[in-house]
Amino acid sequence: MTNIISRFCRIKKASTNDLRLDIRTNTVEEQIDNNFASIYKHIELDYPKFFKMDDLSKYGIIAAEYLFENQDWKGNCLDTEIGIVISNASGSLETDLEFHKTINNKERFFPSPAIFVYTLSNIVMGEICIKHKIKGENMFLLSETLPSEQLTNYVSDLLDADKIRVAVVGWVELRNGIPDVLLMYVAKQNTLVEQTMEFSAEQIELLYR
Amino acid sequence: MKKNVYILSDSVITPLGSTTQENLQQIYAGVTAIKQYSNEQFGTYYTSRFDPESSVLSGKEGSKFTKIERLFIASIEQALASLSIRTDQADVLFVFASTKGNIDQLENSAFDFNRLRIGVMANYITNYFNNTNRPIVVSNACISGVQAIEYACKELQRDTYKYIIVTGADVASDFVLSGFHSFQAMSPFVCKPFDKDRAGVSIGEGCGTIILTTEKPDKEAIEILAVTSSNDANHLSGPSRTGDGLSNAILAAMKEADVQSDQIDIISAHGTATMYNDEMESLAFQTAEITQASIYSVKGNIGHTLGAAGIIETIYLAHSLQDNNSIPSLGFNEQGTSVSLNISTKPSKDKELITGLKTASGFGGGNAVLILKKKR
Repeated sequence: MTNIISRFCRIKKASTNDLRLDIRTNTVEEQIDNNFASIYKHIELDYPKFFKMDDLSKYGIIAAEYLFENQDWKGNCLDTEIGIVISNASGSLETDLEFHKTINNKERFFPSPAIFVYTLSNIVMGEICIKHKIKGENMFLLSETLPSEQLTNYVSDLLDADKIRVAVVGWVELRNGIPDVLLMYVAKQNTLVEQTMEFSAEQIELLYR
Repeated sequence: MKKNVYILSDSVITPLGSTTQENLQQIYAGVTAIKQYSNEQFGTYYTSRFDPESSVLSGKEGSKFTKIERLFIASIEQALASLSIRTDQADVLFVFASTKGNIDQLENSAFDFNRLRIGVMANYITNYFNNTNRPIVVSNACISGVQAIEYACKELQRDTYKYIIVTGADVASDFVLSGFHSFQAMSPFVCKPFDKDRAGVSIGEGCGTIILTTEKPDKEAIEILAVTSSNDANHLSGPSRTGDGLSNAILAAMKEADVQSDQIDIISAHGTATMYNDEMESLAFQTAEITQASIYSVKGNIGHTLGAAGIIETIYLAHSLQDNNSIPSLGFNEQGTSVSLNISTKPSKDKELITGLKTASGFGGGNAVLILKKKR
């Protein structure tokens, strides 16, 4: 049985000369300013914790909001039947540099626990899990480029073995302040959905383009 | 039909010992590699760290590689030594586990910044072994090691690879030590997992490598019956108070392995020696009804080796089953969790050990569980 991508959210820089972000989902196509305060307002997020997060986590949370917008996306799935598999190239490197600034000067040694907690690749995934109560299988892969084949194989195995019923899958990368995100909501074919795309490496590459 | 996955060979390199056997001797003897250090920024602290002059870190290729890369290379070479596997073949895949990779090089302004990306670091290692397959890198905090094994087990089911080399390492960098210090999570003495007086973690460093295959070795072998993960979806830096995330993963792993709770003979716990972690684990073991098993943590011997922990500790557990010898939980004196646990305090060959369970939990809410079985 094939698995399907029932929704997606793609976030990238609009163009070389445009600092805005290009956001695309099944139903939305828009360009917005790359400014967290205005995005927060624009997507009507009511989650004050958002502003305590590092930038990588903020982009992950924003993408998840677009992905699940106005959807009863869980259906009758239990929280433990929802999996999440995220990947990126840089891990938490941007935040690692921030934390490093707090410890590299011996006179001004003041490591911040609030920053340190974000110096792990998978924290963006943890934030999405907390916000959306995702409690099933979770995995974080580091890869120089979008590992479309690995994501497809790994998540398909979890779905086919009935370890999970649905999954949030994708790529959440941040480099020099520029996000590059593709999140997908993946389900088994027999789950009720309106629009469908096959969950395959080729399809992931098409959505990422 | 699901194929069985077996451990073909292994290697552990820690400050406790530079081979698996050296490590095990010290583990059974109740020796710790954790020592007291001090530094002007955060005073006295305890960690398990390699002697900078250590021979394991000064291989012939030493200057071309960083500390963690040398650890990976040394450990992988050790694991390969008894086998005739050619790593330049397409049927060999490398799966890495690390939380921070080359993070200790952040202070070195001459270091290639790109190599701080763990995926890039992994390429340096696979190039050394002339392997052209794209390496897999798992970085899911302290469950990375167990999950690298999880990834490898699934990949082996697809028959694309004959051998998967799963390797995990992290180093006790100032970066990580400062962070745990800022969390006030570092123990003011050698950490005491599950003890009443436990007061935090001791950070450690090291590398563990296991080579997995679906072909049953001729001799007695250790089979990986199941690996599962879950997320607490509760808090980034603290475990769930109820242990429900971990117990869900344990129950799912037992179901996948088709093992009943009374069949679990021994448990290698995560046992970081923080108040919350050990308490949470005891609750999860109660929920999963596996408190009859002999339970231990090796964090008192080698500290918390972060991304390497799941692999190193799985190797210890596998040998404990093969040796039919239960590992003592160093640092434990008195019950310190609300659920009374059957903590192992001395090596014992009294009971046949067949099935072992390994747990791990980490920042970001992840839990992972693995079940091993001795097959004759």
